[in-house]
Amino acid sequence: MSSEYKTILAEVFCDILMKYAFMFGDASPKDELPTNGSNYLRAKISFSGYRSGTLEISTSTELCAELAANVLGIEPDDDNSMDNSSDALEEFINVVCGQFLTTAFGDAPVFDLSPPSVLEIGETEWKSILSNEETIGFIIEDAPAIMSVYVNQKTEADSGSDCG
Amino acid sequence: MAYNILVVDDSRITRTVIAKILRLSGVNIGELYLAENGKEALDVLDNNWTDLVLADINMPVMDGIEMVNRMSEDSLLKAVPVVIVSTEGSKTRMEEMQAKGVRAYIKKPFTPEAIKNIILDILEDQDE
Repeated sequence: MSSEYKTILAEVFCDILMKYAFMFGDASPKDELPTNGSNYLRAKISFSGYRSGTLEISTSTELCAELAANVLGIEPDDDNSMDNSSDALEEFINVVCGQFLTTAFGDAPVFDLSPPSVLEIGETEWKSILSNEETIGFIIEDAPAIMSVYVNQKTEADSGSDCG
Repeated sequence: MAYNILVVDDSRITRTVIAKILRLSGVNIGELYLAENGKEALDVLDNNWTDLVLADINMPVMDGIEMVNRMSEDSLLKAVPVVIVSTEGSKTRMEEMQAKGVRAYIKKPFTPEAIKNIILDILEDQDE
């Protein structure tokens, strides 16, 4: 992941978090991320068109429940928060991806986004994602989150054929 | 006059939030229909009079682009106003969709005011 994309992703992530869920997040060195969870969700979305690639976010199930609660205007310990936690993360990554692409490439190119997917992951996979040098860490109200974006280089054959 | 409104989004949480905004908007809602994708939406539209559709683009089974294309080919459905509520930021795509009859575009994350104002504008236009 280029440093330019990392910077854009960090800005977009924090901005959307605030606008979508009224929550505050900050980029953080990964070795300083809190380790207070054992259950995590990993969301992924792919895009194609002007550029292709994938965007991923992994975070604790507790944070996803809080995300859902904030969006729905209910309490985090409400059963509906946990029921909607996976859906909240899917929609969040969908919005982050759309905003990332507009910020990185402008509003002329056309992109097609895949429907996002979410998987439960355990401690082992979490640690693997954490140790991946391509990922960046965030602290969101004392909970950890890890993000990555992979953007494939545009080939010459793509040039001029996909902007309009 | 009560308006029948269809909300099309694969995200349950987004359907719930939009439904809540609509109920609090002051618009006199008759029936509020919910669909998870374009195919479900077309089924609703085939069987129910609908005054306005709020639809996402990025959905499984049938996306919002295909749904709008199908509506534009139908002599009755092409008159139903569609508002796109999406994470899409491409002006090019929005212009293409407006050419097919899409009335407005709301970018996610949206504010309740954005939804309310656009809906009121469109429904008031219809009444005139």
